[in-house]
Amino acid sequence: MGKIKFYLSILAAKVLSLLIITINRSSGTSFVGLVVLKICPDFLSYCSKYVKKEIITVTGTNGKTTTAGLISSILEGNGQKVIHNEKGANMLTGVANALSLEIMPFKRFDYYVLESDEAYLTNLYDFLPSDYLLITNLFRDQLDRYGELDTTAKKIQEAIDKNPKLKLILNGDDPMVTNLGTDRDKIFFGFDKVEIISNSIVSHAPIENVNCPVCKEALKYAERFFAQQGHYYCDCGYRRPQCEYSGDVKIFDDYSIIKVYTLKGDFEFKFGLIGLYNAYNALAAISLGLELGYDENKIQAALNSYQAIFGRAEKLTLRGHQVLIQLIKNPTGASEVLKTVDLTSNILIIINDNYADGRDVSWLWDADFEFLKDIKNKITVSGDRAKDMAVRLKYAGIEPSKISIIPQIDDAIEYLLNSLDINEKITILPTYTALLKMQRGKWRE
Amino acid sequence: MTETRLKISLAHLYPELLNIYGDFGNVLTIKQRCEWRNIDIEITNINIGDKIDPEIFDFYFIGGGQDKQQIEVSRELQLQKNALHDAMNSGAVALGICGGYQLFGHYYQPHNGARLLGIGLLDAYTVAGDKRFIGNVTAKTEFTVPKTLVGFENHSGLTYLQGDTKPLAMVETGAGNNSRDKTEGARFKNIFGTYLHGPFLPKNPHFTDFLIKLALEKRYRDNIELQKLNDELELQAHISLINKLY
Repeated sequence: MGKIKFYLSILAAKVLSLLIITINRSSGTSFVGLVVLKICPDFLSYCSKYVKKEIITVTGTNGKTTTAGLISSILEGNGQKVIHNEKGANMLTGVANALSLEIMPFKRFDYYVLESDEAYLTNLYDFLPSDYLLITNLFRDQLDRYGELDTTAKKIQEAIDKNPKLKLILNGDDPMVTNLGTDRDKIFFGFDKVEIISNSIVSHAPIENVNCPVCKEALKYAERFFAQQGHYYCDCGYRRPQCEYSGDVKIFDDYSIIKVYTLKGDFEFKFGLIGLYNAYNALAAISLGLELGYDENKIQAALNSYQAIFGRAEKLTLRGHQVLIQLIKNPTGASEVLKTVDLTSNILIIINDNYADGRDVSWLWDADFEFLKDIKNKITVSGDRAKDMAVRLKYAGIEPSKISIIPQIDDAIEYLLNSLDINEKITILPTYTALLKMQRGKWRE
Repeated sequence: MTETRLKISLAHLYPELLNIYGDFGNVLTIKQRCEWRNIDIEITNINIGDKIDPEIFDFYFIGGGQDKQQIEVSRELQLQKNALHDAMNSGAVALGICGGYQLFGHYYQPHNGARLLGIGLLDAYTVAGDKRFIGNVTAKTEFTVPKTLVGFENHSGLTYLQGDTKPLAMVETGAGNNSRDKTEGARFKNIFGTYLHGPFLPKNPHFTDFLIKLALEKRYRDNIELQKLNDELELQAHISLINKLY
């Protein structure tokens, strides 16, 4: 009976997606998954039969989408058949969505690369245990959703405990991550040395005050790279581990050079996404690629071809305007984006407060919007919390006369496209659900 | 006759430990609203080990944090308890948000484990609850015009007031202190506590000004009228949040 429901749900997925494509051309990131799980609630437990090699899950606060995208790009570049929930839809319905659209009764895949929301990981493993779990970092993100940071760490730990054969690939530079899976075999990646060779300014986002996860005293740092990431140590003996994949990175204005030292040799990679946070994502994916035995030249090729998916740094040309879209979703990530934002462009900030954005917009005050205070052009604010954003900008030192509020997202974009001179550049900084909404904007045509 | 510039001195208590809900935005709001009126404001960060001199400060701010940080601050505050009581008795203004508010009371009693001691500026106590209250809050206060206060709560502690400590406001939407008696926040003398963040002060400019005025009046022992500011943006944000879905 269960099996019949499973095939039925697969069939429903294909029909639905055809329908959705015919109706509005969008891929409906979770809707199909929702229906599939309604028809067959244990759909995911049937999916393990359709993978030949490994199931890889990626979780963490920041960089899940980029890291998971890079991993599948590396695997595909090596001729592997991969299913990947690539639209950043990382709750159960999103995973079911991706799998149900690809799986066919007699077809097998080599890998699943599944990006999972931290809080849904246990749930996912109830149905679909993994072979690898890669954890990027644990930042203060969407606090209101999970209570607090420690709660998130506990949720991930529970997921690990459920899954005894899981191999862990962890960011050794993040003290909140290293300790997870206490007695398991773990493989660490991390940077030995970080050199910033761009003229970008240093962030003054509040430094996360991190206590030792073992003895609860304040951690000390020999070097601190970015938020709580760095070479930490504690008097109780807890410290940054020896990393199996350690790297040196040079951060230039629009690319990074990453040197990775491993037991198998030293390799150098160039990566075209900006900022240290992206270099961490690349190091994570490179480490897993090398761990799975893939060739460094093929990994480099995959890095080159990787397109920042789903707007996480999407460049496009619209009616003669160069448009750059960059997701913002928490103080650390947003400050990194603001640090490198083009101050000669016309900035549109879109803040929503739906569940997936985090319903509490306090974080806007922990992000460095002060970087925008010398801007010459007007700044447009939009989204459900446009007015909160306007206030934030005012207190960051921007004249109220330079702030325009246009709550409707499509209206705000149309306004910019129509009112600006051709060749004027536009930078759009949306939160997650604002970005989702933008995928369906009529102005894209 | 040249008028001397007004000044207030603010102590930001333990910003490195309690800073979880955009608390920096509260201090920034006080600072900007003083400076836009040409009132000098001196902000001093008080960290673990720093002695508080109640002669210096007119205004104290303390934010919220996670459990571990709150424990550390609770320990340190015991050493500064007398200084802060002197400050209160001299009319100084203090605002505590969430975890900082709880520490202004007598104690926080977790489900298991030892009581976390507060400093008893407010006649209030907090016990751990079974449910976390997370959502948008609208409350009404008697202290300001307009009366509405808006913000976002995120707490599981249940706070109860007693004696001469009065509620800061009564909730219209949201749980407030304990979800039972409709009270939100607390006031005794010029000591204020609230569960509202979001952050609290930027979207409640009238309340920020009320606190600034109290701090100035403490310093100069005289009635002081604040210059009016153009609060169009702040009030738009404030109004958009009134009775917003929890």
